[in-house]
Amino acid sequence: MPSPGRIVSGDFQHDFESAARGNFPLSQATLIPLYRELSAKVSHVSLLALPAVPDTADPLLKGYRLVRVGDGERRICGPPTVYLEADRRKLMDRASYYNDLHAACPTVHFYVFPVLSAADWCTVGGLYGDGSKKHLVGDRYAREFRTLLDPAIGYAWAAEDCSFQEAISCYYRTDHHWNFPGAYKVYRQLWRFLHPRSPQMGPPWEPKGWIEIPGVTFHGSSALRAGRCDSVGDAIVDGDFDLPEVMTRIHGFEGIERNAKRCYHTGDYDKAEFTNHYAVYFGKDYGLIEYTSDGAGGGNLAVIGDSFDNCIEPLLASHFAHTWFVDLRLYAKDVGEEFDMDTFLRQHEITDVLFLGTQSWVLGFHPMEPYPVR
Amino acid sequence: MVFSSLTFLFFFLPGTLIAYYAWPSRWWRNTLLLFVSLLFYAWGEPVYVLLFLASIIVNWGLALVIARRRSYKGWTLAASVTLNLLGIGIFKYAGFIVENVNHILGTAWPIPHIALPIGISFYTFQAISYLVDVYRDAVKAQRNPIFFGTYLAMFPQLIAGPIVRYETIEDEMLGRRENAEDIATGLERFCVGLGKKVLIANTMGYIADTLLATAPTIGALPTWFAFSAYAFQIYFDFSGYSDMAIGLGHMFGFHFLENFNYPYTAKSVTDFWRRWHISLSTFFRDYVYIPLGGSRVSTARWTLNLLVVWGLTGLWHGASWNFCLWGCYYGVLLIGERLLWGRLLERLGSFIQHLYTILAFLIGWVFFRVDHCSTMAGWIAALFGGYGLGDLATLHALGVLHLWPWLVVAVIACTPWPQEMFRRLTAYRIEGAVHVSWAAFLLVWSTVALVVGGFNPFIYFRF
Repeated sequence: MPSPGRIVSGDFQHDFESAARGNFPLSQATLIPLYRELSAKVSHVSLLALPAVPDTADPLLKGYRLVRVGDGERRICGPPTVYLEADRRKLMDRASYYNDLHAACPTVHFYVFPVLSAADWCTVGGLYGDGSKKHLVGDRYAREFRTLLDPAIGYAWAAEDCSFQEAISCYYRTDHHWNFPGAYKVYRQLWRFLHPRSPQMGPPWEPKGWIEIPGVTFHGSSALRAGRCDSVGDAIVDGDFDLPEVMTRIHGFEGIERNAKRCYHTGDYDKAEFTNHYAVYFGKDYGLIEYTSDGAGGGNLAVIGDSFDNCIEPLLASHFAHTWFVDLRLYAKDVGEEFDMDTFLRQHEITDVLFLGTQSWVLGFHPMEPYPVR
Repeated sequence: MVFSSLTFLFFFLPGTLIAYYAWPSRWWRNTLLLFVSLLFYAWGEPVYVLLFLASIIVNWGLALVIARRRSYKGWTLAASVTLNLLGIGIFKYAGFIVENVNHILGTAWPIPHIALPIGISFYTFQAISYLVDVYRDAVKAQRNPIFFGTYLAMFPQLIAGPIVRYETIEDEMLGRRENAEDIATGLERFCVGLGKKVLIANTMGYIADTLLATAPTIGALPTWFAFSAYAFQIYFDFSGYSDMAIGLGHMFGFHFLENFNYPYTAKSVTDFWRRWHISLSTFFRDYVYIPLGGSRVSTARWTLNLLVVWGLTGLWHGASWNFCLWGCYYGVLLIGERLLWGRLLERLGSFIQHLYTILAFLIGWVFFRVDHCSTMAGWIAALFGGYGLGDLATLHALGVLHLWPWLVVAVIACTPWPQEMFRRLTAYRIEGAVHVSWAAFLLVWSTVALVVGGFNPFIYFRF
């Protein structure tokens, strides 16, 4: 029986509908593939009937599309971000926030590190045609933001120094997150970014090799939203590192398993087709995670971020004595209080603050999540 | 609960139909309808169902008082209508009123943020129409609270209309005769409505939402694409819901009046409003416009009355100035057609008349959709080429270009042509098979679309 609380909040009704959808007879094997096939065919024919438009992307469902990158590589991308003149005000507001923060805490190193979506990289790469470039963001907000920020604040965007092909290869083919080789590339960029101001963090970690989890084909959230498209997928690949022992505390508690990597290596994982392997393998999102690394030479790092952090947490945390990963979407719910930047910096004697996450909220043009208060 | 959900289609509706026809007694069937309607409402509004129950009880009692106390019935009616308007005023307009008072007087009163109970505009107007009709002796006050509750709460029209007047179903409350033909007609009508909503309105909504999340600088072609899609979204969304409501009514032996009559084929704005949301326009005509004097007053007074009526019609859609502007815009066009260009329009050919009406309602939808004046002006400028022509590449980049065949489908489906085609099939003695196949196709395809893409609530829920 559902509890009254779940009924009043609407969670029970929502779950009931989701369960009905998930368990609908014939849906997985017959109806959904048929629907997707037909939609794709109709979309294809409808585009053939029009004057030439850039033909690098086959529409799937709800703005998701199958793009061809390079020599036959296919990936599923969400809709690209649209450029809006009105967003400039929001960029300026967010830049002012970072500038004020830096002025108020001159001894703390601040870094801003937005992550462009794969679809925005496709805009940069010209996949949607040059004509539409003026309406799409691509890396334009990321470039404009640099002009608004105090130069004393470290600023770069993920894979900024990469070509389009290199940058796009950092992402899973069917998910908005980085694959691990991509994440490692970004980690190296972050190390180059942080090291000049925090040289005590030591040299970057090198992988001994790359491990592929056998039997897993990862169909990420883009595949799911595009109509459970399973024609494209990825292997789950991880790096093999000799990292020092670290202690993890989640919401202040020890003993909570951060991720399910060990289970995957023993073959004990959910084999359903659209399992969110990223969240399970690298660990799900938490409001506050603290890493303590006794042997590390760096200071105390606070990463204000989102799910992009998950796969690089151990690498980054192994350079600093203490590292806190804060996910503002979940902080108040998980920790039981609102996040206050001043208090947090003082309380934990933070030396470095890294704002790392999707460009929409790091640059502030998509006010979908709460932001830290001073 | 929404009609376009698997919960409704495969659990609630079959369960209700089985339970309903398992009971032979009319009294029990009405009681069952009231119970399932409250369950239907509570599924989406577990808290506000209490407010709705209070509305049923209070309006039932007030109508009895109006009917019995003839000497005070005018005052009782005034108090009843005020009470109903107070309810809708608090839940729908309090934030808007305080915000504007703060703006005008420079005060800083806290703006109340009250969640809008689903369907409050519809059931409040039904209650008001009932109270006024009792006052006018047009209908008898219903003595049985269960039957009155069944009327006000009946789930087919509860949360997004049409606004069903008590006189429409008064006789059917106890005297209806359910039959197989009505059930079959109702099922087909329901499936057509479901298809309109899930297949056409949702696709049009996707196009409109994607393009209107950008800026008018995308140019004329994408802007026309966007507002055409929005026009079709709102029509198929709402008329689809009305079709489903009428179809469900048939399944339970009720015959609601039509709410739409191919509005996009109208040849003038006056004609458009005879065809669009008929239950709302007749409500305002009978309960506001005519009591204000109708057309039997001076031209100046008539003009003022019409603007008041249309301003209120606009505000009924939402507590925002853009809705008021939208209503007044139609008021001005109707006044213009009556006093200035109406006769000239009649002399022009059908093509020009259609073109004029299409342009009029498309601009109207800009006011309706966009809630900021400067953005509104921008989109209207974009429609007329103020930001250049735009290109197909932009539409493609935004992932909507490939959906253009759905616009063609929408154009055809908003005309009487499909209905005419079905009518002609009767000559070939395959009408029954065609109707069944068509309804089954729409049901299956809509279900698959719901399984794949989830569901979207109806636009008119927020009104």
